[in-house]
Amino acid sequence: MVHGEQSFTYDRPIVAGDELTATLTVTSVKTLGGNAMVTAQSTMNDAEGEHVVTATSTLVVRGDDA
Amino acid sequence: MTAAPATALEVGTVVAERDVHITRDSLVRYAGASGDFNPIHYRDDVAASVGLPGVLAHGMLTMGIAVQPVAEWLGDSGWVAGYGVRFTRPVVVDPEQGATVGIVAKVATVDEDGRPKRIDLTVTAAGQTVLGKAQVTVVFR
Repeated sequence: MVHGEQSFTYDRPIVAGDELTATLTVTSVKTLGGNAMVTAQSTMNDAEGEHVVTATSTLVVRGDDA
Repeated sequence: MTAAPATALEVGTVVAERDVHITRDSLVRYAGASGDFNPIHYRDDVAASVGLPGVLAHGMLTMGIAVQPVAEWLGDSGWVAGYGVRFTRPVVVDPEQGATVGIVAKVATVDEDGRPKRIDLTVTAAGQTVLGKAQVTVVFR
């Protein structure tokens, strides 16, 4: 498995004392040339429930014959 | 480095440029800090057994190193509101020589006041680009 893509989108900077809760959602799974491309989005909110940052990762899972 | 980042800048202006040398020690430290103990990042035999050209730097380590010059250029005058990359080529870290990651950060787009809005990074190792679409969105205070 290799890391294909990564991005972060912030509504505000994270500061000391922040309590963040992350929710990870698998947003897409695609097959491309025998490999699986899995995209997951982790949404992080602060203690008040306000959105702080979303991290999106695409992982490439190699197929058996790849 | 170009000082006073809150002022208007032309598209294409280089705002930061740096070479960062990393070693196997850097990878061990990053493995510990991140919790990513995949042995392809510290064992030559394991890297070779899965067909890799050598022990590789963690993509997220390269990503982090590459944005640091932009964060320092911004200083207290702004912050990074978005950052994304594609890991297009691996950074092979030689056991003796390590690897050098070269970073050039250029203004890609500007806001209505002419201040940088998006900074694009060119990140290279061993003469080849290692990150694709490495884009940093900046916000000035």
